[in-house]
Amino acid sequence: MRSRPAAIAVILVLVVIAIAIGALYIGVADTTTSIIWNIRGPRVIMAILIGSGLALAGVLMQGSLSNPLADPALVGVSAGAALGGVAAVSLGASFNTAFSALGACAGGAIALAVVTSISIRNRVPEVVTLLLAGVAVTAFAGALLTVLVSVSDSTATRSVTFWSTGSLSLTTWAAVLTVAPFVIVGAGISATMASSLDVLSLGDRAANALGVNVSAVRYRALIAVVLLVSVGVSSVGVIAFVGLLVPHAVRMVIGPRHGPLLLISALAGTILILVTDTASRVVANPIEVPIGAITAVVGAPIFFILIRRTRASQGGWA
Amino acid sequence: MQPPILDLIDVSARSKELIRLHAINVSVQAGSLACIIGPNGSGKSTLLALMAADLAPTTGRVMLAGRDLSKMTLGELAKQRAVLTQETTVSFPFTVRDVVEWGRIPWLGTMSSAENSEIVAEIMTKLKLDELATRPVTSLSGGERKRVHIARVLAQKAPLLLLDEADSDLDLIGRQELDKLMLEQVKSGGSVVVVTHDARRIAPISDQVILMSAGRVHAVGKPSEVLTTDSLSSAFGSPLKW
Repeated sequence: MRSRPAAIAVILVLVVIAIAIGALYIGVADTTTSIIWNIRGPRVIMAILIGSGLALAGVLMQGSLSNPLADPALVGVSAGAALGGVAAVSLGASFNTAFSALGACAGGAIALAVVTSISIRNRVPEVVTLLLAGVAVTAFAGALLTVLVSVSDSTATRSVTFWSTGSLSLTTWAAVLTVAPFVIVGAGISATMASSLDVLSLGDRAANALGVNVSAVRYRALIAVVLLVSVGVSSVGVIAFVGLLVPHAVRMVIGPRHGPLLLISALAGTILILVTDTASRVVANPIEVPIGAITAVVGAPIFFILIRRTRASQGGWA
Repeated sequence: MQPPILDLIDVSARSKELIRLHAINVSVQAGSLACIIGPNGSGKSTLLALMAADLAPTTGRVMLAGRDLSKMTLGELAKQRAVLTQETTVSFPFTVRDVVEWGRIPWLGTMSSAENSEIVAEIMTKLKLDELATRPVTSLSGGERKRVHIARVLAQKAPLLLLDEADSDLDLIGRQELDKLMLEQVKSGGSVVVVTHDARRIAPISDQVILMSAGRVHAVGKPSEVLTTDSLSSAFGSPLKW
């Protein structure tokens, strides 16, 4: 696999660029070390965790639900996680603590359980139902989050806009240490399921007949999704389209096998978040543009193209 | 005497209030071809799903070569029976060879990869899939895709093949080839149960015909016993000349 070393090299270059670029140009002697260590360092590591986490979650959702349009933000997992995290904080926890992380996981898991249980009928996941349920869950969780943020003093450091468009600007080392274990465990789970996800493309009954325990695979994949996405969202907000677009783009280049797809998507997601986060700091310097705004501006048109392509290849959404 | 490869004892299936299959008793002998025919919604696919352990019976037992299906693991089942479902869509653009290779999954670890590849290569040639080997299966026509799935099912090398409307989407030559493959399976000691709407073609070459009607076995036996104008007409609820 030639693309792997290339992707890692690109990531290393981007890490250096991301650390060097920002609202304040590095070079002011006294503050340089502090900026690199306390502000840009954790931010770059967080970008790696968020980018790989969202991309892996996208691959797992699309593979386990046999649905090329699945994405943690579209189906409501991200909104549920944001709500769970905010709810934990309004109950007295601090951001980026074990308690807020568990709140986020609970929120993400509940949202995912609701949309998948509604969309799987006769053991077949339905594309349209999944997306519609995602719309409802996202709206519901978003509304509750708005209420909580308005009434609770303890969540005041993060606005409603922060949650809906995402930003890595508040990232600290504590945040990195809170998010990292969840993403690492989620990535570990996803690494074990590549070949089972391949076979799920046949549909549940045929995969079962080949000895694959479809429900167990799907369960495991969705648990990994919750771990990969939820705590990250509770730390940086909802960053849309990454989980949707990265797996698609990678699949077009290297094909659908989940082994390489998982690995290369994680690397490509990392690159995407590093680039967009760096861009968010410099395009309107000294003001930071929310990173989710950039991914949505780029992602929404590509999503349209994907819808058209998928419709052409599947003959409609009936 | 050898136990039948499949033995359904007082098996019924209901989902919620709906009775999909009334209690039935059917058995299929090893080394035989059985076909299930009947009108739409008569319970043919339900019966096949019960045989495949894809659906658990509400009452009764399904025995596979003398063992209770419900007590076998998915891995054991996959070595004993292969299932062709009506669904031929593959969600992502895997190649034809990828899909046929999945047929070997139950045997991974028990055979060398060289042996597995040999079986895949042999079956792909037999099903005339060599030229399509690297094509994405999503780009194929319905008939071609069906052939890929039939190849995958054969690659599983299971003694029992359960085929749900294997002939739909296939053209005349394809159906002729399919019949040949089913008879080969039977000749080599294996068994086939096939659900079909093309009774006139498959029933005469079958050892046993299971005629379903309204969730019951309307008639079962040798083709000459079951395939009569009277029994077909009453099963289909409309005059039908044989």
